[in-house]
Amino acid sequence: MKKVLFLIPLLIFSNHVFSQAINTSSKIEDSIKRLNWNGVDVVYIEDNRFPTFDLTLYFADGALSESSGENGLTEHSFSLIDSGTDKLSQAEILDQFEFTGSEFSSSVTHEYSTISISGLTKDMNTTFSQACSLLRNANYPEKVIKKEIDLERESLLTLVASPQGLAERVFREISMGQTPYSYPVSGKLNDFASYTPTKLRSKMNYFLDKVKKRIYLTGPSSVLSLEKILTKECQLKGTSQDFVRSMEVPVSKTNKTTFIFVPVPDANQVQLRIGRFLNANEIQYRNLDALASDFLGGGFTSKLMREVRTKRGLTYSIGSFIASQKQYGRSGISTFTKNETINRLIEVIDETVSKIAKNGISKEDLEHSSEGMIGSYPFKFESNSAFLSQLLLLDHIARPYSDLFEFKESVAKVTAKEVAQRIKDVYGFDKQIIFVLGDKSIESSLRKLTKKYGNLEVVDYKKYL
Amino acid sequence: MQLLRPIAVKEKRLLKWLLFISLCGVIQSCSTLYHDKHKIEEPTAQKGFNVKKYVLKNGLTVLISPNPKLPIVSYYTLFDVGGRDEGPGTTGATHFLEHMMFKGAKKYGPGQFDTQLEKSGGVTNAFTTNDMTVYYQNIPVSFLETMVDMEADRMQNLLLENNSFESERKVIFEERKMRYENSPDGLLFLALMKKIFAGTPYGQSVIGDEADLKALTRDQMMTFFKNYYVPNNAILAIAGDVDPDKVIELVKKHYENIPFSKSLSALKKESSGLEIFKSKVEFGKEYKIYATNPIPKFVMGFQGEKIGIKKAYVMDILAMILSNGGSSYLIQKYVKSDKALLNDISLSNFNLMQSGVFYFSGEIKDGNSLDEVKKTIENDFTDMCDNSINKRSLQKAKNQILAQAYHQLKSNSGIASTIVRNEKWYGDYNFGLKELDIYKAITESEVQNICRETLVAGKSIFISTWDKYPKTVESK
Repeated sequence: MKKVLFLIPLLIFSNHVFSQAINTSSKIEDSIKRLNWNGVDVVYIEDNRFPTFDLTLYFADGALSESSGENGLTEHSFSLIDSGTDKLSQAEILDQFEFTGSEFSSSVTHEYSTISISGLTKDMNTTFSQACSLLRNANYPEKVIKKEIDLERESLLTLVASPQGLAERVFREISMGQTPYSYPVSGKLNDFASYTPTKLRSKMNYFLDKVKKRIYLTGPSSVLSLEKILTKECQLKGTSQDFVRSMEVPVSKTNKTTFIFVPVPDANQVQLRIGRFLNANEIQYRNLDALASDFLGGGFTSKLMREVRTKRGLTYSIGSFIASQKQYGRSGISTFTKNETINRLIEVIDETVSKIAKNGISKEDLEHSSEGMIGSYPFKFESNSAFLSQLLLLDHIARPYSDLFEFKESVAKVTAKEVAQRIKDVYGFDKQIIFVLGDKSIESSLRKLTKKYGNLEVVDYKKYL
Repeated sequence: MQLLRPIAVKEKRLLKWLLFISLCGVIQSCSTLYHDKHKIEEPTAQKGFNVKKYVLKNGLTVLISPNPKLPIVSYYTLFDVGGRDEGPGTTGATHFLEHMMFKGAKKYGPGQFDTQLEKSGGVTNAFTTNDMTVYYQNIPVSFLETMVDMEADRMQNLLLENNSFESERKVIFEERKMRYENSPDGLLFLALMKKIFAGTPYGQSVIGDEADLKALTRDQMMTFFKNYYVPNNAILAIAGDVDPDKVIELVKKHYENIPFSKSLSALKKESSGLEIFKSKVEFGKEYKIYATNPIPKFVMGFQGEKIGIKKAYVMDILAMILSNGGSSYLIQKYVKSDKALLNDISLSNFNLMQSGVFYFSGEIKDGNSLDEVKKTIENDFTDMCDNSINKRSLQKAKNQILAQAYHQLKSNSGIASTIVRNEKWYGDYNFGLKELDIYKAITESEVQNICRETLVAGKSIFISTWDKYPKTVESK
């Protein structure tokens, strides 16, 4: 370990020496290397500035792989991978990773899953041997799984004390409607009993052996020696038969406003979410979407921020988004206010969106957003791990990397008319889920809005835990 | 885009933040770097961070760190003023002022700061703590000249326009509700600070008491601004694709004529000194506060240390050994064991410029009694100090500190924030390197001794929140 302590000063001395001048898009593109390790595609960016590595292992399937009675199984087969092996207890596994300061994490979406590992290159081989041992030998001991599930259960039961977290969870499920993407990837309380060691192991084996994988890697060239460990010890291999998740999802039609209230005890602030599910045919123009959501609710100078916070002091923050995966997306506006002003907040947002839909936006307003997005372009590459995440998403949605490198030109071509139309189509109040979570006492006030937004449906949050 | 600005004091539980809080020490404030001999300090080629340091004739300290990787820059401005500088009845003034700094100045009027900055592709934010206020921007290098002009403009010519003052007051009440009133963790932290630093400036809430926020006037804020937003009370750090020799000329052009404050030192004397920070904490007491959490949460607070002394570094290591990561002593024993008592537990070492607090926080496992949990933890202190601190756990903590340090230095903003804080806390932007040596030299017996001294021999206060407690004024 002494050796590591001496590395830091050396690193800091040499920071500028190792800096690579990557100032043009062509150079950025050139920095991406594509390799093949035992049939598995590898996307590699060399970075000699630090003796560290970041690796993400991508699997082309996610929670949609679950059959009936398996809800949440995928996420748990990944998140509980450190629960134990025949040789090592959970405590020993955690200690091994934590001793070197290495990070091991996983993420499961409906469409795909990832495992990310980062740390110091000097500990790289040890770290990956440990990781491979988990991937191949985790046996999910029943006793440990029970304890972890108990913790998760209590965490869900106490979510009521975290209004923002609770609002995110309930709103997501409701706004995704009856689509295959609505159920939470982490499952619900009633699913927890079904996670047995056998099922968890079997699910992980499915991902390791049947699903298409890709590796995203950054670090000094020495990290390329990981090929041996990943192919031998992790036994990663790829074939043309590897499975890639794809869904035949019928188009979900949203043509009315749904007004929902979720009461919680003793809150003097109300959470508001407005949004909806987006079908595959509604997520074809990602740069236009980025511009539209940025214009409406991105940053301190967005339309909503000016109307809601700057002019009226109704909230501390408001933001909007259009997020898309390969075959679906969702849009949303997220904010909060005090109990007394919830109706006004909803109306101001409605008025803002309606005004854009009716009057359009000016060329100057559009330029503010588009120039901002173009100016922020280099920040996409400041962190190589974030850069790789963008490449991962492009690969996942089967778009060429040129989407990223031609971003500036693409954004510059978008017209004010297109942005206004997009805001109308995506955020128009005629097809939104208006979701309010707050103290029971605000219900009567919300009912005053039913003429505008339809019946108020009161929902018990416990259904969504 | 996640909207965070402006942020009141944060509970420093994140390891990364804890690390860099305690990576810095020294009581010397940046005002002591001020040279009133009207000369420009020559940049010194110091080893360590690739930084050139200048001190302008008005006392403004400027740190510039070139990194040509991408045409982007991070721009940090630190003012040596925080919640501790607020007098009675004006709590929240520093943080409120931080909000108002985005509301227009003489040259760049209302709305201009954010508009110009975001149109360039930049992002901006700020935060206020008990000891300092920091503004930061990540911008394309092409916007740097305007950025310098805008920051210099608001440092000397803030408008504090009435309309936006009142509108922003409402916004701050919403922020207060979000961070504290509707958050059991936020309430616990406010209560901990209030009790452990009772009767001292650190016991005041940085976001402000409700009554004070309602009563705060524009004139009071303008006085506060004029007192503290002066060049000899500020440090500027610029990291990114810049040539230091050119950038310093730019900085001088825009900042050098801003007058320094002659009264700053006297003002600071009023809010410093051992007596002022001597807490009237009543150790041994327990406090129960109503909050919406259906399972009790608690903090157990001990006397901590101020930034920069050896004991503070040892306490960092102690906190990491005991609670950082799933393999740590506290998580293994109280959360992951067969007889788990808790859903979560952490140990934090929060060092401020003049004092500190060392505290456990946790959530009990449903079905267990809070009293039982408290007793069990207290009875465990001797075992904790005797059995958890060994060669391996000590080395693990040191390794984790290193890994965190690497992570911090991977971005321009990480470098700028590190050097600006080191400069404030130590008067030495490079002190982070010396700190690594301090951590490296810490021994098992030192950690064990501090553990026994703090936990076994020390006294604590205990605060809990629960939805079964009666609603009292403590809960707001």
